[in-house]
Amino acid sequence: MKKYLLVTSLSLQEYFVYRLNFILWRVRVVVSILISYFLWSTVYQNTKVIFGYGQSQMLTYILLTIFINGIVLSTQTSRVAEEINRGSLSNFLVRPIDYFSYNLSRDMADKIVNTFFSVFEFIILLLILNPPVVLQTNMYLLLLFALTAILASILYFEISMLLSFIGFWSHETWAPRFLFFIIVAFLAGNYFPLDIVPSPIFKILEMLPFTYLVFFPLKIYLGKVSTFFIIKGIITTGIWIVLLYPIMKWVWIRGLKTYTAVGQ
Amino acid sequence: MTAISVSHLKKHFNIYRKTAGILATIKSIFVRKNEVVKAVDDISFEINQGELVGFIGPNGAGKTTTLKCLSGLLYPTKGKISVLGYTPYDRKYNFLKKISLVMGQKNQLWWDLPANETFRLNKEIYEMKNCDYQNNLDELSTLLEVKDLIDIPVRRLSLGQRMKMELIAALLHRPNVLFLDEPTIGLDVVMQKKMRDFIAYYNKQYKSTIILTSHYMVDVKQLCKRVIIIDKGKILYDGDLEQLVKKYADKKIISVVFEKNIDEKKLSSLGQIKSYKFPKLVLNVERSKSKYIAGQLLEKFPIEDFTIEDPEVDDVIRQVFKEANK
Repeated sequence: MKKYLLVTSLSLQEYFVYRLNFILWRVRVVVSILISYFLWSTVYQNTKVIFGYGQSQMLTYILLTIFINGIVLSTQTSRVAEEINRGSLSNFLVRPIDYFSYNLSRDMADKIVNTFFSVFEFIILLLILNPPVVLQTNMYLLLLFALTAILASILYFEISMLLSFIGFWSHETWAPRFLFFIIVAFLAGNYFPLDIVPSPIFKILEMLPFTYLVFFPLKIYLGKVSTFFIIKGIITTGIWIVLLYPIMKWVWIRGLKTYTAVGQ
Repeated sequence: MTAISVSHLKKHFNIYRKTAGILATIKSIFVRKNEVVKAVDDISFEINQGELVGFIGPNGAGKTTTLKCLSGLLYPTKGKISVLGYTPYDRKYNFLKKISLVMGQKNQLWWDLPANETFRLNKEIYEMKNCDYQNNLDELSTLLEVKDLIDIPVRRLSLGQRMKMELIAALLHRPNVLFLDEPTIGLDVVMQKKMRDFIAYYNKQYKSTIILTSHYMVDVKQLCKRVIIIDKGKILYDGDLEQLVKKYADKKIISVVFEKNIDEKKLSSLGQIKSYKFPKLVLNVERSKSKYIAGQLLEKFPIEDFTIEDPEVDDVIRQVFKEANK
């Protein structure tokens, strides 16, 4: 166990070597949130309620995506593809260490740093923009929010690892990943709450794993959800996690058999 | 005691060919011509505990592939491998704790952090005791003269210093079996020598089994008593290096430094002239005639300096390959 804690600690240290890089990355995150924020602010100038969302709910949703992105979508698993292609995966395979746990530990560093900063940014944005926000005080909903965020992290880890495993068969791992980023940003609900789309489409989205990465936890935070919706959502997330786990392991083992340990 | 045993190991890769050009590229999306490359093609050998064996062969001969199979990175296509009683590709932790693989061109060190952070991580990975870790680290860093460099970020180190750190990271847990793939690649002569001395010392001190591949014949000549020569996935020779030289070297090399300029024609009757540039002559002569020709030379010509030698290991190896390819 201690070895994995140390991996997290070393990854954290690694982060602070490239401070400027990190700061610019955070600036990018904030700017993209601000775009959505101002877009929705403008929409609400003439109306009180759109698609069932009041102004404060919508703006809270948008601002909180910073936070949930920090927890759920922060990952270094894209490095897995790089490690496979460059052959440096060998360094892990010849040492008594579990590569999945290693990646989880490395991701922990990412999540800690990004979440930490997102809280600051959230507070600063609140102070500067002073928007009407929903402050959830119901402990039960807050706990569910935390739980679904953790489940979302696990789900995202599995998807992201699978995506990186493409590296075993192809050197072109960036194209699929880039496409994936766009799909996630859109289908996970980074730009708008997913339930504003027509109900038949939302029914389909509810079956996909992406919905549970961003939209689902935030929806719970905002309240106004039925117990049935929560239970259904948690079960669907659980099914995806349980389903993807053996697939991830299977692809990994298949991949190792084709792995040639070569690279630049 | 046998540390490593390999029997009828085969490792085949599927590769595909593509002719140059944009049309061929588009075509290759739909149709790919597969081809099987036999990187390792039915080799068998055994290595005893404490042996230091050199793998020799040209690029693409199958040396590195064999090492990768032995360290559990690659699944063999066919054949059996046993290292310390384990099947490498099961990658059992108890097996991995006893081996180490050092690749000259790949590093395990965390690039942006000081080397001692990687060492600390390895201490946890290999579950080493505090005192063992401290002792080993002290010993290795003193031997390799890098004690004062372990807290400098790895990216600030020179290639040689980095290679030493890699070696420390690989040896901290005192592996019983050590695979070294081109450990001296890219290093200058002084550093190569230090590296060699260190490997020899480590082998003697800890009785660890070492397999080494290298392009530099000096490495092999100075370190390994036994060599395994591989080409095109097959073993051409497995045995004593000295024996090999004797077996293949039916020639001797006579080097002479003349006092006066001698006409080349007068010399050509003595043997095959390898090079002649006054004052130095290098002659290839048959082993059986070497004494006679040496006598002739000393008798007939004014000579300042004179040596008879076996051919260089490089030449012998080249001859082995040449004969195998006939």
